[in-house]
Amino acid sequence: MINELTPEQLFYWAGQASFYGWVILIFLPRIKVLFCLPQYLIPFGISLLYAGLILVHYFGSAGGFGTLQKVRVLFENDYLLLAGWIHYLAFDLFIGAWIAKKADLLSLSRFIQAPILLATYIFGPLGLALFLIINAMHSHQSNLIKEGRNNVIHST
Amino acid sequence: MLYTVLKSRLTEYSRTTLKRQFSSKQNQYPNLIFGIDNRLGNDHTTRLFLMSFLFLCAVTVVLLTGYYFDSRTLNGVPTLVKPLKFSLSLAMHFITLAILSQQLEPSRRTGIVLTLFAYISVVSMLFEQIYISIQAARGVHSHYNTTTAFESLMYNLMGVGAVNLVLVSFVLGVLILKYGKKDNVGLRLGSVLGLTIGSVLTLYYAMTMANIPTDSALVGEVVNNVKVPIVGWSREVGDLRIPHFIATHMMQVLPLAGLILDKLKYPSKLLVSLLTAGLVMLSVVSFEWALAGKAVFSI
Repeated sequence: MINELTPEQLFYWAGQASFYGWVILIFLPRIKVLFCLPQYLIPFGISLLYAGLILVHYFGSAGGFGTLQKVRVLFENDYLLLAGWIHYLAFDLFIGAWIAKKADLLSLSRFIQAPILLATYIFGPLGLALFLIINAMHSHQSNLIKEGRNNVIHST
Repeated sequence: MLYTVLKSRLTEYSRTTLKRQFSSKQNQYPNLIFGIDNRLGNDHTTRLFLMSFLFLCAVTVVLLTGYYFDSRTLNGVPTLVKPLKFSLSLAMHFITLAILSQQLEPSRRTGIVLTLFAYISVVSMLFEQIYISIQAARGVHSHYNTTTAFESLMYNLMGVGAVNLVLVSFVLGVLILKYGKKDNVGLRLGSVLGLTIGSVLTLYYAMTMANIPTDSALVGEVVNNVKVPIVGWSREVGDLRIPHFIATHMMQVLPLAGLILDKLKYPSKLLVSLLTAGLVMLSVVSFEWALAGKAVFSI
């Protein structure tokens, strides 16, 4: 079945799926049902596609992951190139959803979330680095301690 | 009958569900390390300014790694220096806004006026910082760039963005003048003067800079390209970025001076006024010199 589809067709479908996931993350309100799409459903779908491609094509290729040269050989096969690409799509989207969830907990304004998520969509790690720096500036612990103290006061 | 039921359902919905989705409980905010928000208010306006500050800090760190790898130059300066300067000075701008807005009562701080201008300024900041960073990464100019129709449109939009960025500080200055707490005289006077005069002068100098025919912040013929370290001002021709710098950072200097003078129990009102007059004169003189093509740091 998969062999009948061209890599271009699969590339287009995976790209579309991840695009809609990012639109949900960046523009739409954070409703649980809607949020499941970019957080789980779309990355899961793309991951399944990746698994299929890699199982069929990886072991027939002379390439590998050990050196840059081997990776280059690996990506000479169009199906493996596609697999490499949708690996980005799936992981970037999953990370994007994680960022969105954590950012909501920090009450980071959606205006500031938007460029961070956009950066994650286009240049994955760049957006992740931006968010990790912002996240690192917060301490959840002090808040927990405060809450704990409040609880003690209430119980006594 | 049906109408009242529907209406009550709708109010119930907007009170619970919508509120849960679009606003967060105040006590759910995690603290910033340094405990900075234990001293600052935990309302949405302060939060917005603080988060903009954090975002700009993050951008600075990311740009620094790029700066390390980048060997390209633009007008003799590494390409990523410009977005770095902008992220640093905008970070300073937003943390100043967060701190100085504490002189207003929480209700006034979260009121419609400041909230509106705060959002406008944050959107403008994002636009400016992102466009400048992308253009620098492409190795081309952001300001004075009219090579394509798109770039000249963006250059004009950046002008609008810059106006929005100083508009919020001007509005904050006026709000502090009208409704600010009166317990720290020097801090209050410094904030009012710094924010209003600083904004007006910044705007005026920036507009002059945008409209001079040379299409750069420099007035005169550059030969040796000698510069003041770090800030990169010219040491051989007139540089309009100097009065811009003095006017913009008046917003930090004057309130800080007022605060320190208050703590030391000096006559802060008089001294802040004198300092204001001095800084304004300094910026005007450096402005005139720059327009005349004279370098301030030529010695």
